Amino acid sequence: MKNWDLSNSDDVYRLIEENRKGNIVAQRVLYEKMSGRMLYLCFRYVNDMDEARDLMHDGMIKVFDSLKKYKHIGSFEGWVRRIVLNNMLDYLRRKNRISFSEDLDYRHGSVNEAEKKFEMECTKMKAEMILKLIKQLPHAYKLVFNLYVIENFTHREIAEFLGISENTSKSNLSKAKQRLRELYKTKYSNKID
Amino acid sequence: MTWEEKIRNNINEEVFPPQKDWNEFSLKYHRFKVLKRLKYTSLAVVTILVLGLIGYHFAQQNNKDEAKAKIQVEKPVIIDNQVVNGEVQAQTADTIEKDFTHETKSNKNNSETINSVNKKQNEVTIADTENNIENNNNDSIAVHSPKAVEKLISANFSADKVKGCASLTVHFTPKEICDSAIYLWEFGDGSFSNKMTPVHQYTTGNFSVSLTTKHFNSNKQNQILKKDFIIVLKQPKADFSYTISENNNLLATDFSTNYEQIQWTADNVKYFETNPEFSFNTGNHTVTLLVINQWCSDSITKIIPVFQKIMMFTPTAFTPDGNGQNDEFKPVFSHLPDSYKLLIFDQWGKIVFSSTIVNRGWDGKINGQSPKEGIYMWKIVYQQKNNKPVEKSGQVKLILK
Repeated sequence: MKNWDLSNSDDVYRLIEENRKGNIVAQRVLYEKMSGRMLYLCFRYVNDMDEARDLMHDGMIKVFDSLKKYKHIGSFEGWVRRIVLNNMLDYLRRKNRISFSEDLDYRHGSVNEAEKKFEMECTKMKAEMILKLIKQLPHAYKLVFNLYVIENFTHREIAEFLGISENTSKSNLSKAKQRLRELYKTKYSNKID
Repeated sequence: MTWEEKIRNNINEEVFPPQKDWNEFSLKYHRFKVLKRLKYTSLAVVTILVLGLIGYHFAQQNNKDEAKAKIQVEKPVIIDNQVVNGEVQAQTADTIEKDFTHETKSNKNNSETINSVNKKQNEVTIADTENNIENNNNDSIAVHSPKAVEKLISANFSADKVKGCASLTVHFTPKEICDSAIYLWEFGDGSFSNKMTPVHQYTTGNFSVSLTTKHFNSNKQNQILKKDFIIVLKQPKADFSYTISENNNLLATDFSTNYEQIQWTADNVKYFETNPEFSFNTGNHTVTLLVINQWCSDSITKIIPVFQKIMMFTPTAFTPDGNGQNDEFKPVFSHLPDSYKLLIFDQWGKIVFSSTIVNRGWDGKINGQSPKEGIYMWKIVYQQKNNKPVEKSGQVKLILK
Protein backbone atom coordinates (compact mmCIF):
# COMPACT_ATOMS: atom_id res chain seq x y z
CA MET A 1 0.00 0.00 0.00
CA LYS A 2 1.31 3.39 -0.97
CA ASN A 3 1.89 5.94 1.74
CA TRP A 4 -0.50 8.73 0.86
CA ASP A 5 0.18 12.24 2.11
CA LEU A 6 -2.93 14.40 2.33
CA SER A 7 -0.91 17.62 2.56
CA ASN A 8 0.29 16.94 -1.00
CA SER A 9 -2.37 18.15 -3.45
CA ASP A 10 -1.30 15.65 -6.16
CA ASP A 11 -1.77 12.79 -3.75
CA VAL A 12 -5.21 14.14 -2.73
CA TYR A 13 -6.21 14.42 -6.38
CA ARG A 14 -5.13 10.86 -7.19
CA LEU A 15 -6.74 9.48 -4.03
CA ILE A 16 -10.07 11.10 -4.92
CA GLU A 17 -9.87 9.83 -8.49
CA GLU A 18 -9.19 6.31 -7.22
CA ASN A 19 -12.15 6.63 -4.87
CA ARG A 20 -14.39 7.70 -7.69
CA LYS A 21 -13.39 4.60 -9.64
CA GLY A 22 -14.61 2.52 -6.71
CA ASN A 23 -11.18 1.38 -5.46
CA ILE A 24 -11.89 -0.10 -2.02
CA VAL A 25 -8.27 0.23 -0.88
CA ALA A 26 -8.30 3.93 -1.69
CA GLN A 27 -11.61 4.29 0.12
CA ARG A 28 -10.09 2.74 3.21
CA VAL A 29 -7.07 5.01 3.04
CA LEU A 30 -9.29 8.07 2.72
CA TYR A 31 -11.44 6.96 5.62
CA GLU A 32 -8.51 6.27 7.93
CA LYS A 33 -6.84 9.57 7.05
CA MET A 34 -9.98 11.56 7.78
CA SER A 35 -11.65 9.58 10.57
CA GLY A 36 -9.45 10.84 13.44
CA ARG A 37 -9.97 14.50 12.64
CA MET A 38 -13.66 14.11 12.02
CA LEU A 39 -14.20 12.09 15.18
CA TYR A 40 -12.50 14.83 17.14
CA LEU A 41 -14.68 17.39 15.43
CA CYS A 42 -17.81 15.51 16.35
CA PHE A 43 -16.64 14.82 19.84
CA ARG A 44 -16.45 18.51 20.57
CA TYR A 45 -20.19 18.87 20.08
CA VAL A 46 -21.54 15.78 21.82
CA ASN A 47 -20.63 14.34 25.18
CA ASP A 48 -20.86 10.68 24.28
CA MET A 49 -18.03 9.03 22.36
CA ASP A 50 -20.36 6.48 20.72
CA GLU A 51 -22.67 9.24 19.59
CA ALA A 52 -19.72 11.12 18.17
CA ARG A 53 -18.55 8.00 16.34
CA ASP A 54 -22.02 7.46 14.81
CA LEU A 55 -22.14 11.10 13.72
CA MET A 56 -18.69 10.75 12.18
CA HIS A 57 -19.76 7.63 10.32
CA ASP A 58 -22.88 9.30 8.97
CA GLY A 59 -20.88 12.31 7.89
CA MET A 60 -18.25 10.17 6.17
CA ILE A 61 -20.97 8.22 4.35
CA LYS A 62 -22.27 11.53 3.02
CA VAL A 63 -18.72 12.44 2.00
CA PHE A 64 -18.29 9.21 0.06
CA ASP A 65 -21.74 9.57 -1.46
CA SER A 66 -21.13 13.08 -2.73
CA LEU A 67 -17.50 12.56 -3.71
CA LYS A 68 -18.56 12.68 -7.37
CA LYS A 69 -19.65 16.30 -6.90
CA TYR A 70 -16.26 17.46 -5.56
CA LYS A 71 -14.63 19.78 -8.08
CA HIS A 72 -11.07 20.04 -6.70
CA ILE A 73 -11.62 23.63 -5.64
CA GLY A 74 -10.23 24.69 -2.27
CA SER A 75 -8.96 22.39 0.42
CA PHE A 76 -10.32 18.87 0.41
CA GLU A 77 -10.21 18.59 4.19
CA GLY A 78 -12.24 21.79 4.47
CA TRP A 79 -14.83 20.32 2.15
CA VAL A 80 -15.04 17.09 4.16
CA ARG A 81 -15.20 19.05 7.41
CA ARG A 82 -18.02 21.18 6.06
CA ILE A 83 -20.09 18.13 5.07
CA VAL A 84 -19.56 16.40 8.39
CA LEU A 85 -20.34 19.58 10.29
CA ASN A 86 -23.53 20.23 8.32
CA ASN A 87 -24.67 16.69 8.89
CA MET A 88 -23.97 17.03 12.60
CA LEU A 89 -25.71 20.37 12.94
CA ASP A 90 -28.77 18.88 11.25
CA TYR A 91 -28.66 16.05 13.73
CA LEU A 92 -28.29 18.34 16.72
CA ARG A 93 -31.06 20.62 15.56
CA ARG A 94 -33.38 17.63 15.16
CA LYS A 95 -32.42 16.05 18.45
CA ASN A 96 -32.16 18.88 20.94
CA ARG A 97 -34.27 21.71 19.59
CA ILE A 98 -31.66 24.10 20.93
CA SER A 99 -33.14 27.22 22.48
CA PHE A 100 -30.88 30.21 22.27
CA SER A 101 -31.33 32.85 24.92
CA GLU A 102 -31.57 36.24 23.30
CA ASP A 103 -29.97 38.93 25.39
CA LEU A 104 -30.93 42.35 24.14
CA ASP A 105 -28.63 44.11 26.62
CA TYR A 106 -25.56 42.62 25.04
CA ARG A 107 -23.24 45.18 23.51
CA HIS A 108 -20.37 44.08 21.38
CA GLY A 109 -16.86 44.95 22.62
CA SER A 110 -17.75 45.27 26.29
CA VAL A 111 -15.16 42.80 27.56
CA ASN A 112 -14.52 43.24 31.22
CA GLU A 113 -11.24 42.64 33.04
CA ALA A 114 -12.16 39.26 34.43
CA GLU A 115 -13.00 38.00 31.01
CA LYS A 116 -9.69 39.22 29.62
CA LYS A 117 -7.88 37.42 32.36
CA PHE A 118 -9.71 34.26 31.60
CA GLU A 119 -8.84 34.58 27.91
CA MET A 120 -5.19 34.93 28.81
CA GLU A 121 -5.50 31.87 30.99
CA CYS A 122 -7.14 29.92 28.18
CA THR A 123 -4.16 30.37 25.88
CA LYS A 124 -2.02 28.61 28.41
CA MET A 125 -4.47 25.73 28.83
CA LYS A 126 -4.03 22.46 27.07
CA ALA A 127 -6.55 21.48 24.43
CA GLU A 128 -7.65 18.50 26.44
CA MET A 129 -8.56 20.72 29.37
CA ILE A 130 -10.56 23.15 27.25
CA LEU A 131 -12.38 20.25 25.68
CA LYS A 132 -13.36 18.97 29.10
CA LEU A 133 -14.64 22.39 30.06
CA ILE A 134 -16.59 22.84 26.85
CA LYS A 135 -18.36 19.56 27.41
CA GLN A 136 -19.95 20.96 30.55
CA LEU A 137 -21.52 23.91 28.73
CA PRO A 138 -25.22 23.92 27.75
CA HIS A 139 -25.95 22.99 24.13
CA ALA A 140 -26.48 26.46 22.77
CA TYR A 141 -23.32 27.90 24.35
CA LYS A 142 -21.29 24.89 23.35
CA LEU A 143 -22.43 25.18 19.73
CA VAL A 144 -21.68 28.85 19.39
CA PHE A 145 -18.37 28.59 21.19
CA ASN A 146 -17.25 25.65 19.08
CA LEU A 147 -18.32 27.26 15.82
CA TYR A 148 -16.87 30.67 16.57
CA VAL A 149 -13.69 29.91 18.44
CA ILE A 150 -12.59 26.56 17.14
CA GLU A 151 -14.18 26.26 13.69
CA ASN A 152 -13.44 29.97 13.08
CA PHE A 153 -16.79 30.93 11.55
CA THR A 154 -17.98 34.51 11.65
CA HIS A 155 -21.07 35.46 13.62
CA ARG A 156 -22.98 35.97 10.39
CA GLU A 157 -22.18 32.43 9.20
CA ILE A 158 -23.18 30.99 12.57
CA ALA A 159 -26.44 32.94 12.45
CA GLU A 160 -27.12 31.45 9.01
CA PHE A 161 -26.26 27.95 10.15
CA LEU A 162 -28.45 27.93 13.19
CA GLY A 163 -31.22 30.18 11.96
CA ILE A 164 -30.67 32.83 14.65
CA SER A 165 -29.74 36.50 14.59
CA GLU A 166 -26.14 37.69 14.69
CA ASN A 167 -26.68 39.37 18.08
CA THR A 168 -27.98 36.15 19.58
CA SER A 169 -24.82 34.42 18.42
CA LYS A 170 -22.66 37.13 19.95
CA SER A 171 -24.49 37.16 23.29
CA ASN A 172 -24.38 33.36 23.47
CA LEU A 173 -20.63 33.39 22.85
CA SER A 174 -20.16 35.93 25.60
CA LYS A 175 -22.24 33.88 28.00
CA ALA A 176 -20.34 30.74 27.03
CA LYS A 177 -17.11 32.45 27.92
CA GLN A 178 -18.55 33.66 31.20
CA ARG A 179 -19.72 30.18 32.06
CA LEU A 180 -16.40 28.69 31.04
CA ARG A 181 -14.66 31.04 33.39
CA GLU A 182 -16.92 30.04 36.25
CA LEU A 183 -16.33 26.36 35.52
CA TYR A 184 -12.64 26.96 35.29
CA LYS A 185 -12.70 28.76 38.63
CA THR A 186 -14.49 25.95 40.42
CA LYS A 187 -12.18 23.27 39.03
CA TYR A 188 -8.85 24.99 39.20
CA SER A 189 -9.66 27.63 41.82
CA ASN A 190 -6.08 27.77 43.02
CA LYS A 191 -4.79 28.85 39.61
CA ILE A 192 -7.03 31.86 39.21
CA ASP A 193 -7.74 34.46 41.85
CA MET B 1 -2.61 36.47 17.80
CA THR B 2 -5.93 36.51 19.60
CA TRP B 3 -6.77 34.02 22.29
CA GLU B 4 -9.26 32.28 19.95
CA GLU B 5 -6.51 31.57 17.44
CA LYS B 6 -4.32 30.21 20.15
CA ILE B 7 -7.01 27.88 21.37
CA ARG B 8 -7.71 26.86 17.79
CA ASN B 9 -4.07 26.03 17.20
CA ASN B 10 -3.92 24.14 20.46
CA ILE B 11 -6.93 22.11 19.62
CA ASN B 12 -6.01 21.50 15.98
CA GLU B 13 -2.66 20.13 17.03
CA GLU B 14 -4.43 17.51 19.03
CA VAL B 15 -6.17 14.96 16.84
CA PHE B 16 -7.57 11.56 17.56
CA PRO B 17 -5.50 8.79 16.02
CA PRO B 18 -6.81 7.24 12.76
CA GLN B 19 -9.73 5.06 13.62
CA LYS B 20 -9.37 1.34 12.95
CA ASP B 21 -13.08 0.70 12.55
CA TRP B 22 -13.06 0.60 8.75
CA ASN B 23 -14.94 -2.69 8.72
CA GLU B 24 -17.78 -1.27 10.75
CA PHE B 25 -17.86 1.85 8.62
CA SER B 26 -17.74 -0.03 5.31
CA LEU B 27 -20.66 -2.13 6.47
CA LYS B 28 -22.62 1.00 7.26
CA TYR B 29 -21.63 2.55 3.95
CA HIS B 30 -22.65 -0.59 2.08
CA ARG B 31 -26.02 -0.61 3.87
CA PHE B 32 -26.50 3.02 2.96
CA LYS B 33 -25.79 2.34 -0.70
CA VAL B 34 -28.14 -0.64 -0.77
CA LEU B 35 -30.88 1.38 0.89
CA LYS B 36 -30.40 4.22 -1.57
CA ARG B 37 -30.59 1.84 -4.54
CA LEU B 38 -33.60 0.15 -2.99
CA LYS B 39 -35.28 3.50 -2.55
CA TYR B 40 -34.85 4.43 -6.22
CA THR B 41 -35.83 1.03 -7.54
CA SER B 42 -38.88 0.86 -5.31
CA LEU B 43 -39.86 4.34 -6.41
CA ALA B 44 -39.54 3.30 -10.04
CA VAL B 45 -41.46 0.10 -9.43
CA VAL B 46 -44.24 1.97 -7.64
CA THR B 47 -44.55 4.53 -10.40
CA ILE B 48 -44.64 1.80 -13.04
CA LEU B 49 -47.24 -0.08 -11.04
CA VAL B 50 -49.40 3.01 -10.64
CA LEU B 51 -49.14 3.82 -14.33
CA GLY B 52 -49.96 0.26 -15.23
CA LEU B 53 -52.98 0.25 -12.95
CA ILE B 54 -54.24 3.49 -14.43
CA GLY B 55 -53.73 2.15 -17.95
CA TYR B 56 -55.47 -1.12 -17.08
CA HIS B 57 -58.36 0.78 -15.52
CA PHE B 58 -58.85 2.91 -18.62
CA ALA B 59 -58.56 -0.08 -20.93
CA GLN B 60 -61.21 -1.91 -18.94
CA GLN B 61 -63.48 1.09 -19.01
CA ASN B 62 -63.08 1.28 -22.78
CA ASN B 63 -63.90 -2.40 -23.09
CA LYS B 64 -67.01 -1.91 -20.97
CA ASP B 65 -68.08 1.01 -23.09
CA GLU B 66 -67.54 -0.96 -26.27
CA ALA B 67 -69.46 -3.89 -24.92
CA LYS B 68 -72.30 -1.58 -23.83
CA ALA B 69 -72.33 0.06 -27.22
CA LYS B 70 -72.45 -3.32 -28.96
CA ILE B 71 -75.32 -4.51 -26.84
CA GLN B 72 -77.15 -1.26 -27.37
CA VAL B 73 -76.69 -1.51 -31.12
CA GLU B 74 -77.60 -5.13 -31.43
CA LYS B 75 -80.60 -5.44 -29.13
CA PRO B 76 -83.03 -3.00 -30.71
CA VAL B 77 -82.32 -4.05 -34.26
CA ILE B 78 -83.63 -7.59 -33.94
CA ILE B 79 -85.58 -7.72 -30.72
CA ASP B 80 -87.69 -4.60 -31.16
CA ASN B 81 -89.78 -6.03 -33.97
CA GLN B 82 -90.70 -9.08 -32.00
CA VAL B 83 -91.52 -7.15 -28.86
CA VAL B 84 -93.75 -4.91 -30.94
CA ASN B 85 -95.37 -7.95 -32.54
CA GLY B 86 -95.99 -9.50 -29.15
CA GLU B 87 -97.66 -6.32 -27.86
CA VAL B 88 -99.79 -6.14 -30.93
CA GLN B 89 -100.92 -9.71 -30.45
CA ALA B 90 -101.75 -9.07 -26.79
CA GLN B 91 -103.74 -5.94 -27.66
CA THR B 92 -105.73 -7.72 -30.30
CA ALA B 93 -106.55 -10.47 -27.86
CA ASP B 94 -107.86 -7.89 -25.36
CA THR B 95 -110.02 -6.18 -27.93
CA ILE B 96 -111.50 -9.48 -29.04
CA GLU B 97 -112.34 -10.26 -25.46
CA LYS B 98 -114.06 -6.88 -24.97
CA ASP B 99 -116.02 -7.26 -28.16
CA PHE B 100 -117.12 -10.63 -27.13
CA THR B 101 -118.30 -9.45 -23.70
CA HIS B 102 -120.33 -6.69 -25.34
CA GLU B 103 -122.04 -9.23 -27.52
CA THR B 104 -122.68 -11.64 -24.69
CA LYS B 105 -124.40 -9.06 -22.50
CA SER B 106 -127.53 -9.61 -24.52
CA ASN B 107 -127.45 -13.37 -24.02
CA LYS B 108 -127.12 -13.46 -20.26
CA ASN B 109 -127.84 -17.14 -20.02
CA ASN B 110 -124.77 -18.33 -21.79
CA SER B 111 -122.60 -15.32 -21.17
CA GLU B 112 -120.80 -16.49 -18.06
CA THR B 113 -119.78 -19.89 -19.29
CA ILE B 114 -118.70 -18.62 -22.68
CA ASN B 115 -116.90 -15.72 -21.06
CA SER B 116 -115.01 -17.92 -18.68
CA VAL B 117 -114.00 -20.27 -21.46
CA ASN B 118 -113.04 -17.39 -23.66
CA LYS B 119 -111.05 -15.72 -20.87
CA LYS B 120 -109.16 -18.88 -20.23
CA GLN B 121 -108.35 -19.19 -23.87
CA ASN B 122 -107.21 -15.60 -23.98
CA GLU B 123 -105.07 -16.09 -20.92
CA VAL B 124 -103.49 -19.06 -22.53
CA THR B 125 -102.77 -17.21 -25.71
CA ILE B 126 -101.36 -14.23 -23.83
CA ALA B 127 -99.22 -16.47 -21.71
CA ASP B 128 -98.06 -18.24 -24.85
CA THR B 129 -97.12 -15.01 -26.53
CA GLU B 130 -95.26 -13.88 -23.41
CA ASN B 131 -93.39 -17.13 -23.34
CA ASN B 132 -92.63 -16.73 -26.99
CA ILE B 133 -91.31 -13.26 -26.41
CA GLU B 134 -89.10 -14.46 -23.62
CA ASN B 135 -87.89 -17.37 -25.68
CA ASN B 136 -87.24 -15.13 -28.61
CA ASN B 137 -85.39 -12.69 -26.40
CA ASN B 138 -83.23 -15.47 -25.05
CA ASP B 139 -82.59 -16.80 -28.53
CA SER B 140 -81.72 -13.48 -29.99
CA ILE B 141 -79.36 -12.63 -27.12
CA ALA B 142 -77.72 -16.02 -27.45
CA VAL B 143 -77.30 -15.62 -31.18
CA HIS B 144 -76.14 -12.03 -31.21
CA SER B 145 -73.85 -11.93 -28.23
CA PRO B 146 -70.36 -10.70 -29.25
CA LYS B 147 -68.86 -14.13 -28.81
CA ALA B 148 -71.28 -15.82 -31.21
CA VAL B 149 -69.83 -17.00 -34.49
CA GLU B 150 -72.87 -16.13 -36.56
CA LYS B 151 -72.97 -12.40 -36.46
CA LEU B 152 -75.36 -10.41 -38.61
CA ILE B 153 -74.24 -7.07 -39.89
CA SER B 154 -76.81 -4.43 -40.63
CA ALA B 155 -77.21 -3.91 -44.37
CA ASN B 156 -78.73 -0.49 -43.92
CA PHE B 157 -76.89 2.30 -45.65
CA SER B 158 -77.06 5.97 -46.45
CA ALA B 159 -75.81 8.28 -49.14
CA ASP B 160 -74.69 11.88 -48.99
CA LYS B 161 -76.98 12.79 -51.96
CA VAL B 162 -80.00 11.00 -53.33
CA LYS B 163 -81.23 13.61 -55.80
CA GLY B 164 -79.41 15.65 -58.31
CA CYS B 165 -78.60 16.32 -61.91
CA ALA B 166 -76.64 14.36 -64.43
CA SER B 167 -73.17 13.10 -63.65
CA LEU B 168 -74.02 12.99 -59.95
CA THR B 169 -71.23 11.72 -57.65
CA VAL B 170 -72.63 9.90 -54.62
CA HIS B 171 -70.70 8.74 -51.51
CA PHE B 172 -72.27 5.70 -49.88
CA THR B 173 -71.74 4.71 -46.24
CA PRO B 174 -73.07 1.59 -44.57
CA LYS B 175 -74.79 1.98 -41.20
CA GLU B 176 -72.56 -0.55 -39.50
CA ILE B 177 -68.89 -0.24 -40.31
CA CYS B 178 -67.03 -3.45 -39.51
CA ASP B 179 -63.58 -4.39 -40.68
CA SER B 180 -64.34 -8.08 -40.68
CA ALA B 181 -67.43 -7.72 -42.89
CA ILE B 182 -67.84 -8.18 -46.61
CA TYR B 183 -69.86 -5.53 -48.44
CA LEU B 184 -71.39 -5.89 -51.88
CA TRP B 185 -72.94 -2.81 -53.41
CA GLU B 186 -75.19 -2.88 -56.48
CA PHE B 187 -75.59 0.62 -57.80
CA GLY B 188 -78.64 -0.06 -60.00
CA ASP B 189 -76.99 0.82 -63.27
CA GLY B 190 -75.33 -2.55 -63.68
CA SER B 191 -72.13 -1.77 -61.77
CA PHE B 192 -70.92 -3.27 -58.48
CA SER B 193 -68.43 -2.48 -55.77
CA ASN B 194 -66.82 -4.38 -52.91
CA LYS B 195 -65.55 -1.31 -51.09
CA MET B 196 -66.82 -0.44 -47.64
CA THR B 197 -67.62 3.17 -48.52
CA PRO B 198 -67.82 3.39 -52.31
CA VAL B 199 -68.19 6.43 -54.53
CA HIS B 200 -70.27 6.15 -57.68
CA GLN B 201 -71.02 8.47 -60.55
CA TYR B 202 -74.53 8.38 -62.00
CA THR B 203 -75.97 9.47 -65.32
CA THR B 204 -79.63 10.44 -65.81
CA GLY B 205 -82.32 8.10 -64.54
CA ASN B 206 -83.83 6.43 -61.46
CA PHE B 207 -81.63 3.87 -59.70
CA SER B 208 -82.35 1.25 -57.06
CA VAL B 209 -79.36 0.62 -54.79
CA SER B 210 -78.84 -2.54 -52.77
CA LEU B 211 -76.26 -3.51 -50.16
CA THR B 212 -75.46 -7.06 -49.15
CA THR B 213 -73.38 -7.58 -46.01
CA LYS B 214 -71.87 -10.69 -44.55
CA HIS B 215 -69.50 -11.35 -41.69
CA PHE B 216 -66.56 -13.23 -43.14
CA ASN B 217 -66.92 -15.82 -40.39
CA SER B 218 -70.64 -16.30 -40.79
CA ASN B 219 -72.95 -18.02 -43.26
CA LYS B 220 -75.82 -15.58 -42.91
CA GLN B 221 -76.02 -12.47 -44.98
CA ASN B 222 -78.16 -9.36 -44.88
CA GLN B 223 -79.54 -7.52 -47.86
CA ILE B 224 -81.41 -4.27 -48.16
CA LEU B 225 -82.71 -2.96 -51.48
CA LYS B 226 -83.81 0.64 -51.69
CA LYS B 227 -86.00 1.23 -54.73
CA ASP B 228 -85.50 4.41 -56.73
CA PHE B 229 -83.02 5.53 -54.09
CA ILE B 230 -81.06 7.76 -56.45
CA ILE B 231 -82.89 10.02 -58.89
CA VAL B 232 -80.82 11.89 -61.42
CA LEU B 233 -82.27 14.48 -63.78
CA LYS B 234 -80.70 16.05 -66.84
CA GLN B 235 -78.55 19.06 -66.12
CA PRO B 236 -80.29 22.24 -67.35
CA LYS B 237 -78.35 24.44 -69.72
CA ALA B 238 -79.04 28.14 -70.14
CA ASP B 239 -78.46 29.95 -73.42
CA PHE B 240 -80.14 32.78 -75.34
CA SER B 241 -79.67 35.06 -78.29
CA TYR B 242 -81.01 38.56 -78.91
CA THR B 243 -81.72 41.13 -81.56
CA ILE B 244 -82.06 44.86 -81.16
CA SER B 245 -84.92 46.37 -83.10
CA GLU B 246 -84.95 49.85 -84.64
CA ASN B 247 -86.83 51.20 -81.66
CA ASN B 248 -83.93 50.15 -79.39
CA ASN B 249 -86.04 47.32 -78.07
CA LEU B 250 -84.19 44.12 -77.26
CA LEU B 251 -85.88 40.90 -78.26
CA ALA B 252 -84.37 37.92 -76.46
CA THR B 253 -84.81 34.37 -77.69
CA ASP B 254 -84.39 31.45 -75.31
CA PHE B 255 -82.34 28.42 -76.42
CA SER B 256 -82.09 26.70 -73.01
CA THR B 257 -82.65 22.95 -72.53
CA ASN B 258 -83.83 20.60 -69.77
CA TYR B 259 -85.61 23.07 -67.58
CA GLU B 260 -88.99 23.63 -65.97
CA GLN B 261 -88.90 27.27 -64.96
CA ILE B 262 -87.31 30.26 -66.54
CA GLN B 263 -86.39 33.62 -65.13
CA TRP B 264 -84.90 36.64 -66.82
CA THR B 265 -83.17 39.41 -64.99
CA ALA B 266 -82.52 42.57 -66.94
CA ASP B 267 -80.98 45.42 -64.95
CA ASN B 268 -82.31 43.94 -61.67
CA VAL B 269 -85.87 43.62 -62.99
CA LYS B 270 -87.28 40.12 -63.25
CA TYR B 271 -89.33 38.72 -66.13
CA PHE B 272 -90.90 35.30 -66.42
CA GLU B 273 -91.84 35.10 -70.13
CA THR B 274 -90.00 32.65 -72.33
CA ASN B 275 -89.05 35.18 -75.00
CA PRO B 276 -89.36 38.64 -73.48
CA GLU B 277 -88.89 42.02 -75.11
CA PHE B 278 -87.01 44.67 -73.17
CA SER B 279 -87.15 48.37 -73.98
CA PHE B 280 -83.78 49.81 -73.21
CA ASN B 281 -82.16 53.18 -73.10
CA THR B 282 -78.70 53.58 -74.57
CA GLY B 283 -75.88 52.13 -72.58
CA ASN B 284 -74.71 48.74 -71.35
CA HIS B 285 -77.32 46.34 -69.99
CA THR B 286 -76.83 43.16 -68.03
CA VAL B 287 -79.23 40.41 -69.00
CA THR B 288 -79.19 37.17 -66.98
CA LEU B 289 -81.11 34.04 -67.87
CA LEU B 290 -81.72 31.54 -65.07
CA VAL B 291 -83.25 28.16 -65.84
CA ILE B 292 -84.30 25.78 -63.07
CA ASN B 293 -85.46 22.21 -63.00
CA GLN B 294 -86.52 20.28 -59.91
CA TRP B 295 -83.15 20.40 -58.15
CA CYS B 296 -80.60 22.14 -60.34
CA SER B 297 -80.15 25.41 -62.08
CA ASP B 298 -77.99 27.07 -64.67
CA SER B 299 -77.56 30.67 -65.62
CA ILE B 300 -75.93 32.75 -68.28
CA THR B 301 -75.21 36.46 -68.19
CA LYS B 302 -74.62 38.68 -71.17
CA ILE B 303 -73.71 42.34 -71.21
CA ILE B 304 -75.53 43.96 -74.14
CA PRO B 305 -74.61 47.44 -75.36
CA VAL B 306 -77.45 49.49 -76.81
CA PHE B 307 -76.62 52.54 -78.88
CA GLN B 308 -78.67 55.57 -79.61
CA LYS B 309 -80.50 55.37 -82.88
CA ILE B 310 -79.20 57.74 -85.49
CA MET B 311 -81.70 59.99 -87.24
CA MET B 312 -80.73 61.30 -90.66
CA PHE B 313 -82.34 64.10 -92.63
CA THR B 314 -81.51 64.82 -96.26
CA PRO B 315 -82.68 67.92 -98.16
CA THR B 316 -84.59 67.38 -101.35
CA ALA B 317 -83.15 70.41 -103.14
CA PHE B 318 -80.28 72.89 -102.88
CA THR B 319 -79.09 76.10 -104.60
CA PRO B 320 -75.32 76.44 -105.04
CA ASP B 321 -75.38 80.18 -105.78
CA GLY B 322 -73.02 81.28 -103.05
CA ASN B 323 -75.54 83.30 -101.04
CA GLY B 324 -74.86 81.30 -97.93
CA GLN B 325 -78.16 79.45 -97.90
CA ASN B 326 -78.49 75.85 -99.08
CA ASP B 327 -75.22 76.11 -100.96
CA GLU B 328 -74.23 72.49 -100.34
CA PHE B 329 -75.92 69.14 -100.34
CA LYS B 330 -75.21 67.22 -97.18
CA PRO B 331 -77.23 65.09 -94.77
CA VAL B 332 -77.95 66.16 -91.21
CA PHE B 333 -77.39 63.56 -88.44
CA SER B 334 -78.85 63.53 -84.95
CA HIS B 335 -75.38 62.50 -83.88
CA LEU B 336 -72.31 61.47 -85.76
CA PRO B 337 -71.97 57.85 -86.96
CA ASP B 338 -68.72 55.97 -86.71
CA SER B 339 -68.27 55.55 -90.45
CA TYR B 340 -69.93 57.46 -93.28
CA LYS B 341 -69.86 57.57 -97.05
CA LEU B 342 -71.74 59.84 -99.48
CA LEU B 343 -72.00 59.07 -103.19
CA ILE B 344 -73.77 61.23 -105.80
CA PHE B 345 -74.62 59.98 -109.26
CA ASP B 346 -75.79 61.84 -112.27
CA GLN B 347 -78.64 60.78 -114.49
CA TRP B 348 -76.40 58.34 -116.30
CA GLY B 349 -75.40 56.56 -113.18
CA LYS B 350 -71.94 58.07 -113.18
CA ILE B 351 -70.36 58.99 -109.84
CA VAL B 352 -69.91 62.75 -109.77
CA PHE B 353 -68.98 63.22 -106.11
CA SER B 354 -67.93 61.16 -103.13
CA SER B 355 -67.14 62.07 -99.55
CA THR B 356 -66.35 60.27 -96.29
CA ILE B 357 -66.53 63.36 -94.10
CA VAL B 358 -69.95 64.29 -92.80
CA ASN B 359 -69.41 68.05 -92.86
CA ARG B 360 -68.02 68.13 -96.35
CA GLY B 361 -71.09 68.37 -98.60
CA TRP B 362 -71.43 68.65 -102.39
CA ASP B 363 -71.36 72.13 -103.82
CA GLY B 364 -72.85 71.08 -107.18
CA LYS B 365 -69.56 71.22 -109.12
CA ILE B 366 -68.60 68.29 -111.31
CA ASN B 367 -64.87 67.98 -111.89
CA GLY B 368 -64.47 71.65 -111.05
CA GLN B 369 -66.98 72.84 -113.62
CA SER B 370 -69.93 75.00 -112.70
CA PRO B 371 -72.99 73.17 -111.53
CA LYS B 372 -75.76 72.12 -113.84
CA GLU B 373 -79.38 72.17 -112.93
CA GLY B 374 -81.07 68.81 -112.72
CA ILE B 375 -81.97 65.82 -110.56
CA TYR B 376 -79.21 63.79 -108.97
CA MET B 377 -79.23 60.52 -107.11
CA TRP B 378 -77.51 60.15 -103.75
CA LYS B 379 -76.54 57.16 -101.71
CA ILE B 380 -75.44 57.35 -98.09
CA VAL B 381 -73.91 54.45 -96.16
CA TYR B 382 -73.25 54.90 -92.45
CA GLN B 383 -72.54 52.52 -89.63
CA GLN B 384 -72.79 52.53 -85.87
CA LYS B 385 -70.31 50.48 -83.95
CA ASN B 386 -71.42 46.79 -83.61
CA ASN B 387 -74.55 47.49 -85.65
CA LYS B 388 -75.24 46.68 -89.27
CA PRO B 389 -74.39 49.41 -91.83
CA VAL B 390 -77.39 51.45 -92.91
CA GLU B 391 -77.72 52.22 -96.58
CA LYS B 392 -80.10 54.92 -97.82
CA SER B 393 -80.63 56.50 -101.17
CA GLY B 394 -82.80 59.24 -102.64
CA GLN B 395 -83.03 62.14 -105.07
CA VAL B 396 -81.98 65.76 -104.82
CA LYS B 397 -82.86 68.66 -107.07
CA LEU B 398 -80.16 71.15 -108.01
CA ILE B 399 -81.73 74.51 -108.66
CA LEU B 400 -79.95 77.51 -110.15
CA LYS B 401 -81.53 80.97 -110.30
